[in-house]
Amino acid sequence: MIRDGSLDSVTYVEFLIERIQRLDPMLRCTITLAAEAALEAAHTADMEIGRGDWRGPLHGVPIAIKDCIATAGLRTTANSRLLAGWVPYEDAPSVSALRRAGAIVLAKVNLNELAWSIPAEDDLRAPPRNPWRPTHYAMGSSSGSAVAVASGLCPAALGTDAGGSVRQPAANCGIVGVKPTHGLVDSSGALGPPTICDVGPLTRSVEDATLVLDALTGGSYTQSLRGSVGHARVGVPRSHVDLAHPDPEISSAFSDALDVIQQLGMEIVDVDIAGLADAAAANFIVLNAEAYAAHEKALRTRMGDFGRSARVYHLQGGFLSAADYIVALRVGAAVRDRVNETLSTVDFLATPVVPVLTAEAARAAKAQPNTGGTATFTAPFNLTGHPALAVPAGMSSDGIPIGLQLIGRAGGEAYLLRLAHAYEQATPWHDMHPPIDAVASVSGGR
Amino acid sequence: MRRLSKAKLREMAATRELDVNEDDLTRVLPMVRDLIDVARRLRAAAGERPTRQSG
Repeated sequence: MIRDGSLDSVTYVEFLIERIQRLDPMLRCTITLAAEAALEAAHTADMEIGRGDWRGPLHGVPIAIKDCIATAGLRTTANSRLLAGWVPYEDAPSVSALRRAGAIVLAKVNLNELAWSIPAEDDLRAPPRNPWRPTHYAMGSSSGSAVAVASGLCPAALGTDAGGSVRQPAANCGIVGVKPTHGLVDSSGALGPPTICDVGPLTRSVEDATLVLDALTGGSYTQSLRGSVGHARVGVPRSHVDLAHPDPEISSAFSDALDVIQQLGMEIVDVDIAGLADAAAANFIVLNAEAYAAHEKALRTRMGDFGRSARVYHLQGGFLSAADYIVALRVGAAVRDRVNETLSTVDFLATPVVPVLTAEAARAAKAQPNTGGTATFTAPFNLTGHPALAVPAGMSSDGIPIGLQLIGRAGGEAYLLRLAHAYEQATPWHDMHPPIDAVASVSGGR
Repeated sequence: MRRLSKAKLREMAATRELDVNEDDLTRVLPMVRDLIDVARRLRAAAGERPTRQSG
């Protein structure tokens, strides 16, 4: 629409700024609204497009960036008092790539403090609310990214995922979230444990995710959606899924999703991948060790500036040994081999995204965070590095969205996104919108 | 193997030049115990399999 002139970027950005100002006091997903800079960039985009200098599908499109990803000249806090005044000199490469594609940074959005903590009301910015049920928090850690997209405050956002932090909030808010193959997207300049963390898009549709991935990687994933998935084989690590005892409504939605995949002409087969639970646990050894290493100096000198939860979450890795860390990486390598072996017999894997329905239930499970907990389905693929995504797959009886996780071969994003697109187009879930305007008008935006 | 005590954790924190108050020590202790248990379990499981280092 922006390309053909039926919608200009300035009008779109103005609309979204007004929407954020109206809804965000209740949703709490924005940390910094870059209204002035976004409008200036929109003016420039409109002029460029008007003279025929169109850079691509993201030209003039406003996006939100998780506030642990560096943005030049724009405060980047990671929702922590440690970084409350930090204004980076340069963009993270992922942000640079989006700007080169013509995208406009509209807002920096909320997250669990430093992307590794339990959210609390006294965080630098209080936790985002789930637009489907504002009495619940949204799952994290890319909670603000998911809430902003699901609530129509922006069409796309970037998040980071070191254990499920893109996929879980996406599933919990009824949108698409992609964790690319480790290293496919340059994730430097984003705060997160570098061995397992990747920057990825959160969007309303699979097609939108491919547009962002194209810009991030220089690839052509959007074109790959046109192909057929044929008679692909989809493996279900059944014993791993069952051991997690998912909420019955999640199990039911997962079963329905597999039926849809079968109806699309694919074959569902049970697979056994030994060590997936170990990989989830090992991922948290790596996460804790690397989080401590990244923040050791601040823990020594500015302990009081960490939030109450972030403080202990970041401390715990300081008591691990080098051998613990090395063994965790070895577990990852062994499970990676087994996943690769399995993916030589099937084309994809499928699991639920998260075994619980709400952020509050996830929080209770996080009382024992290091055994995998609510990340038991997502974290293994951070450690193995395989691409994985969440796509909307149902709705609980209480109106909370449920997601389906699909996992592909390393570097196999094109085929994986094609499957997700085929599934999405065969189901109604991506067309559903949270009743956020009605809720906001009743509550007066609070 | 003996469980990590609060006194031992306090000593380890001091060694790492971490000024952890009593409330934080109390809160982080079960998390560290859990983390160490997981690490021990993974190390034990890894020890049952040959590795490149052990030939």
